[in-house]
Amino acid sequence: MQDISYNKRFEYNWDVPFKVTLGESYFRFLDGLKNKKILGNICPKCNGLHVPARPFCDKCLVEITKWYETSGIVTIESFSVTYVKFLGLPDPPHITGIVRAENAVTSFLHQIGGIPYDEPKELDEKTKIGMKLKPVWAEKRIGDIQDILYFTPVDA
Amino acid sequence: MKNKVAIVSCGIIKYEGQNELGMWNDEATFKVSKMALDNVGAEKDDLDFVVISTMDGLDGITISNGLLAPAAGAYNKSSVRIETTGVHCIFSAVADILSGNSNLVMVASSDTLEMDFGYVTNFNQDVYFRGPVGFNASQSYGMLAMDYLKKHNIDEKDYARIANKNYLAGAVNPYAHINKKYSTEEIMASPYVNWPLRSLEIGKISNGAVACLIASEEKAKELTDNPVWISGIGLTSSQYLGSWKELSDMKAIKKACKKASDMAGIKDLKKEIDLMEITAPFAPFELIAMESLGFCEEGKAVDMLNNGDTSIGGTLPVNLSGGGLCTNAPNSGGLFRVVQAVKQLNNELDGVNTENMEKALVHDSDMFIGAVGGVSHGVLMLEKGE
Amino acid sequence: MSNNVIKKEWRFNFDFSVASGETYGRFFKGLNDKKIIGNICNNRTFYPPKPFCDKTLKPPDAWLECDGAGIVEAFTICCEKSNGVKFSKTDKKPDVPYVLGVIKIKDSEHCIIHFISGFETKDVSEIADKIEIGMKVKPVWATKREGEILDIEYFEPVI
Repeated sequence: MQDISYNKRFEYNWDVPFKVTLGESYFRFLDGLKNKKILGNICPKCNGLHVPARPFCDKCLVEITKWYETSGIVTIESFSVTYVKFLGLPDPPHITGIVRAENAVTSFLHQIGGIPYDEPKELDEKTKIGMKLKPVWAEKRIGDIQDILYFTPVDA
Repeated sequence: MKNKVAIVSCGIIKYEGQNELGMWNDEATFKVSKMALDNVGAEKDDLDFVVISTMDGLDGITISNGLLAPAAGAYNKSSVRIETTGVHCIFSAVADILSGNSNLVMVASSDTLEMDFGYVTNFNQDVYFRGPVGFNASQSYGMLAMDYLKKHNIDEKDYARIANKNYLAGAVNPYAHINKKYSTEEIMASPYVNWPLRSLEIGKISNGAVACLIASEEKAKELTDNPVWISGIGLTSSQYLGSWKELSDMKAIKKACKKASDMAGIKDLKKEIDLMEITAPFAPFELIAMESLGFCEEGKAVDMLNNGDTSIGGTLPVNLSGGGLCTNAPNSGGLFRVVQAVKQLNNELDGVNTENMEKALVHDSDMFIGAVGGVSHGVLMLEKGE
Repeated sequence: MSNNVIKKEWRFNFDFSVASGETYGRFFKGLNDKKIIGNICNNRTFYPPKPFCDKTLKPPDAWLECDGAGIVEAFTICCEKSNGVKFSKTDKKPDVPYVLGVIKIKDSEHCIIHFISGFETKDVSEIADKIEIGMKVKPVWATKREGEILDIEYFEPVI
């Protein structure tokens, strides 16, 4: 048996910076956000619309080069209301959604906001799968997914 | 080996410096994987299994295979991610083929990020003993370089000569990161990083991507007329906290090489092997590895170097790719060397004549995270054939 | 590289906490008291102690203690300041050049890696000449000790 009275706790930290230069597909998608456009691209083999745009199609493993500008309206496919504070996430309650643009074969993750509530718990009921959302744009856009602050109901 | 397994196709892009590629890992992985498939007219649907080699600390995201495996064709297929280098990935591919599970396996790897490599290889160390003194890969290279220098009483200039030999080879390799022919004098004039190693004797970190397709005998014959057969493969791990003798005598390489040679039915390595690719992120490791692999007696590899045996056109060319000094990619370096050896056996590289070369040895290791203890070495035997 | 690229920068910033367990815990407690704790495992001596014998995978047999004197088995002289590496006690980050040595304590069957200092010169070649393989060294203790490897500030030659 271990004699735990000798146990000592070691605390340590990693703080490593990383840098990468993204290629053309991600560039065009992120550059589109600067101009308040949500761009996708279409696989030449399966005709699947990819939003966000990707360099290649996972299913067919072919390069995607055909561009498509979506309306910017997305549909909630799934969501989760968060009631506790997580490092790097907004103050609770906040809603993380899996949203899909038009008839895209891919969906993506973003924040959902602008749904009114009195008690946070109401958000579970008021957020609905299939709900149509539109982007709320940041004033200063730099070509980052956060150029969209969050998505909000179309009729809000 | 009872059943035969071959490398049937490769995909590779030219290696560059850190963050000079202009692609993220997924795109680079996709490009080379697609290239490997296209080269033999295969489709993603022909794949049975995908193996990728990546390490989170080098990819800047945790569990990076989520992003990278589909880029190598793993969507809806079985796949694994291996943190240690190319030969280890090929081991996994070979095992799945020999078990009868797979006929065609994609092995892919990429490096596309810029990070502080000294720091990343410091947090590869334990946090009790080695981490707090700032120990990292480069320092472990310095210790082995010192050990070899003192043991065999050789000249620091010999280290510069190995580096020069590698730079001359890298300069004519269209895939190598560094294409500059640094002279022995330029190398000797570069500053010490970890005495006795100078800056030009340690590989700069490279970015790039590489993939290869591994096939069963039947599939290989269907896909290509010039397969390169995997005749033997061996892996061995070393100790982490051992005596200096245990940490420096490279028993693990010896054992991995013995396993691979036995499997390949190789009786006399020196006679039978025509060329070698050795993982040597610092110049003198080439000498240490050649001796550990059994190509010469201890302390004698420097004679082979100075005789020109291991240079382009020599009797036993070592690292015709330019080696770790010209291409030092932590994730994909091992697979890079495998692909270089395959291209050499197929005499596909313009800068070097490798006609009539039949058998190659590839040494691979995860020592880029630190070469003194806790290292796993792999040896792969390749044979050209019908 | 095409012009249509976009640069991204981010960080891994993680805090970790890990328990030493008894074997290493005894070693670190020993450092606090200027003692080096080891153990005997499968008839082999280890400083620092090993939680198990990696040849037989059997547990250790007995504890040992010594003053930490040992010999240098290998070393390198670090000439480049590492950007990212943070030493756990930042005031001890050494100026270049500094020596990292492989040190075998007493009759230990494994070695540790630690600083070797006390050469009164900053010239790399001179330092290299002053260190002999097999040279005797002893620990120089930090005045403030917290039960960690840097409680030994460095090892110095025994004259």
